[in-house]
Amino acid sequence: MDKDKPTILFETEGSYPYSGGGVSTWAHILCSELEDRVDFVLLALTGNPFVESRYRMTSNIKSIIHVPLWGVEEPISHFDEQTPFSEHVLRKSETGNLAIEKLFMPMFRDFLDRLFDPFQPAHECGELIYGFWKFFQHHDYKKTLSDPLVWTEFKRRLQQKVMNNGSYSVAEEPRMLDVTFGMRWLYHFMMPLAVSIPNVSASHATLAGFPAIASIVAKYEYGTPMVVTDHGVYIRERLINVSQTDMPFFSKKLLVNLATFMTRVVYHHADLISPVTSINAKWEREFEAPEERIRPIYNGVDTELFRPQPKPKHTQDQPTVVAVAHVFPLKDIETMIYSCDLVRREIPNVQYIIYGSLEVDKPYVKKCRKLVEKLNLEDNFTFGGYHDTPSEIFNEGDISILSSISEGFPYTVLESMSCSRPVVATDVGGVSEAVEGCGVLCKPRAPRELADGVIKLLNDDELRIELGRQARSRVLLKYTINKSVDNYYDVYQAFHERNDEPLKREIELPSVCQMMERVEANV
Amino acid sequence: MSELHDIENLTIDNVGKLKREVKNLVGNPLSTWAVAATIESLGVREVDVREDFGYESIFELADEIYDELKQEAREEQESQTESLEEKIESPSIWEQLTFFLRHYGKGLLFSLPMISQIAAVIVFRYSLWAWLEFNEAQATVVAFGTITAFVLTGGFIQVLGRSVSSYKSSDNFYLAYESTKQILGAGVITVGVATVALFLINLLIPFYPNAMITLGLVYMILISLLLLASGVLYALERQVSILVIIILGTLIVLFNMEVLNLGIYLSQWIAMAATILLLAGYAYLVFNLKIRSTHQGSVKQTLPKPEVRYYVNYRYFIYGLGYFLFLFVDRILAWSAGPPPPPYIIWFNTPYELGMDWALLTLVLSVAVLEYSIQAFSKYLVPLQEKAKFSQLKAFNDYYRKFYFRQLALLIGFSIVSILLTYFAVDSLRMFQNKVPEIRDFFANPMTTKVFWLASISYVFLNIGLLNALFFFTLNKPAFSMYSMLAGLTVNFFVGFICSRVIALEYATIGLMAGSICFAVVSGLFARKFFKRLDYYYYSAF
Repeated sequence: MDKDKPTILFETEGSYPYSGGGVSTWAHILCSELEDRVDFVLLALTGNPFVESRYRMTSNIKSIIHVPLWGVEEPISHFDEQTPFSEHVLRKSETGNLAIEKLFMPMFRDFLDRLFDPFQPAHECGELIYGFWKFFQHHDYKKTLSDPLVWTEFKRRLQQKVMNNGSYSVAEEPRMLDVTFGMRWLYHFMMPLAVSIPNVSASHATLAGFPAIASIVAKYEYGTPMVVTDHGVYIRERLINVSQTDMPFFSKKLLVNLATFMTRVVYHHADLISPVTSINAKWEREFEAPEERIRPIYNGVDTELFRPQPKPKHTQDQPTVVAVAHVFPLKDIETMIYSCDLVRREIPNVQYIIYGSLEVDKPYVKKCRKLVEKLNLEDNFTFGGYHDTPSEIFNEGDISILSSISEGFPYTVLESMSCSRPVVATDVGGVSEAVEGCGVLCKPRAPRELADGVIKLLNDDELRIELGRQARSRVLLKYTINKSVDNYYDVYQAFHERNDEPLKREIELPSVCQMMERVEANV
Repeated sequence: MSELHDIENLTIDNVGKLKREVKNLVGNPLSTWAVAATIESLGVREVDVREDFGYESIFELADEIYDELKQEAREEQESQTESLEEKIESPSIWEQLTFFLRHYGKGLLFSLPMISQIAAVIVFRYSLWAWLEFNEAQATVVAFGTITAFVLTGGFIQVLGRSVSSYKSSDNFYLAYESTKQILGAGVITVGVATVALFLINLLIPFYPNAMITLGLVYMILISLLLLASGVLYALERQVSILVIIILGTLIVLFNMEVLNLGIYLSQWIAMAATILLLAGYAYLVFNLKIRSTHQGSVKQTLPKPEVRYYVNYRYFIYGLGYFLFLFVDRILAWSAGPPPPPYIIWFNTPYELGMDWALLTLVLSVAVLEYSIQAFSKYLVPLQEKAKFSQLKAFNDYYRKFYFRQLALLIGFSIVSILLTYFAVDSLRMFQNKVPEIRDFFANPMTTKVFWLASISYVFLNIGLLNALFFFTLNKPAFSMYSMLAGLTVNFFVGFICSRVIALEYATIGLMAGSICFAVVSGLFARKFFKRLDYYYYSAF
């Protein structure tokens, strides 16, 4: 690797380069735009091993460490292609009962304490992560975690910490299957502990979750600075998603505790935490992110691609409101439909067109279509489906609308502003940061407010045009791709010039210290 | 007008309504933060919490809602707990009986191809690779081909079964097919190499005349390919198709012999070749239809690296190889012993083989129990863990320990009944020995009956070992099966060698018995460990 150029370990989960979506698009833009200035090593966690890259890899992506968390019988040899399998077999033979009992189990006990109570000192959690990683550089991951000692200890701790001290009511008591799957989840999710980590300029985690294990390890082993980008807030999304599943209470609690453990340890060790909007900082602070290390780096859009154009023929003579959103509940399309009904009473020929996938939540799409029928809005509200040229969408309308209940820092708002189409949007997430004075902000789930905003802008041409102009200027000033990419480049360069001491010299946890002494003595 | 009012505002603006919405979404809340995140996901922001609800922050509001919901959840659960107290319950007798009959019947299907061959020999005097009129030299040739075929392919068939069922369980027919091709390829190459090697060895040290060895090798190749092809269909659980194709193949022998008068060798070889093509062709069809119907061909997938595959499967291979060696080592020892010394190094012994074939019939009724036992073991493993609370773990393990002993008892019971039924059924044919020369010849040598008793009793212990091995395979613990089989094979060989040389050739079956007992005992010790901690072995079956 070129020593003048920063080399970044770029960590993703369920996204770049194997899946599409907003995070993947952002990641690809970042890597591509920095092709001549930064090299990347991708560490990509996926749910299964049979994935193909959806993006053309640029020349600065030097290698990809693909870690499938499920679906592979011998996972370590799957992603560690440098090491011959015979060495893995040798490592298995060296992973005997004694090594597991004396070196691994003390750390595992400490880990379980922190798993069942994930609000203990975060630096100790970091030491444990490093300790595990160090152990797995010399011993086999699968053999260790499938050892009877590990299972017995997990059960014992569960009995002690959870059952005996009344943390769980009788009905919340786990079933046997929950305990089995709980321990298996640990095996799968903690697999990045077995990855060999290169010595790079900096690590960049795209969420404060499991992929960032590599960042923590790199910090302890090499002193590598780390940056974390919060697109949404991982822990917040886990809390919402897991809480609403049908899983038993114990299983949900375990998953959330694991996510909490990870998030806290990542935030604690990160040198820079970059949410895409400052609104998320509240959650980050709750989970151990030091205020002074939180600095938003906003998303950017391609202002050449998304630029103002005259409306096309089919919408020219109609007051048109455009929306870009996949049709699912978080986008609250029902409120949008109600607002259309209210606007129609003042502007009878108003046209709402929503472009976005109708496949994400088919029952919800059906519900929305029924609502359109019920309100007799078939002539005013159109589901345009997926549009393959997003840059043309906003120019079809006079304004755009966003009715989401929850957002991060939505690209659609920036894209609309870049096309000089002011936005009427619910004030959630980072929307107000983006829009600020260049559109109309509303309360979520308030059709009347949305409708009033739409009516105001459609009826007042001067106001609409002026807000549109201001919106474009704002995007050109603050939210271009170049700005966003340059911000990250500055971070990478600054980290590349740092020479931090590896944190492994400061480890205090006795279980980790003991393991390191033995491992280093054997080496 | 009231409709207009309804749609103007859908916001949640009081704590009671918010609490209900949160409860609808999350039920028993995990934590304050979970409640806070859920509140935000309902479109309630920090500013709304202050202005509409009068709280300082979302977290403060979440605290209160969490406490209330937790209290409510616990009260509801307390009142539910008593009526929903769960125990580990066995299914009803009727359910168990139906289940038994269905899977025991399926187990019987496994033996039908073998029975069809025995029936063909009785009715037509020949089958796919047997003929009542073979002389001892010819019988030696065919036996050589048969034994080497089973031993050479045993390991591959075991690996095939494991690999295909593993991919099938996740509906991945594409990789099951790829894996099958790899394994079959390796099997065919091995058979090829063995053919050349055995021929060359026999050229250097003429154990048999060239004509004999050549004939034997032709049978070996054809039977090997037939076993490999049927192994694929066994792995795909297409037992009926195997039976149908084997019967068709047998009819082709009949046609070749009776209509075309091709003589026994050509008749059987052509029929076996046709059977192989039908088996392989049908397997190909099944795979491709499955891959197309699940659209798996469109996603790029690859098998693990060869060395990983070898590592993952080697214990299964050794077990399969060991198993067939185990089944035939007594014959090899007996047919190479005297008195009198055999004309060639290994020479077919008719009364011995008749006794062994007679004993083999006892397996038909008993081996089918294994299919039932394994299905019963797998079927209730997850549902019982769903029913059992963590505090009932010991009860869960105890339940399965008792289950194990029930299966053992069932297997032993069926084995004893099978032995008695088979003995008396065949023995009753003595009344026809004056009219049917073949029956007279069958009972002519007391060695046949002696071998029957020794072998059939050995098979009882073999079945016990097989039962244990199947449990181990179900939870991905092939090492237990492999070590048990190797122990049994070793004892089988050494005891059989000594007994066949010191006492008489038919006492090679004492080796079979000693080996079977060893297999049953060693695997039984592993099974004791296994069922004592079934929870651990289930957890680690990944």
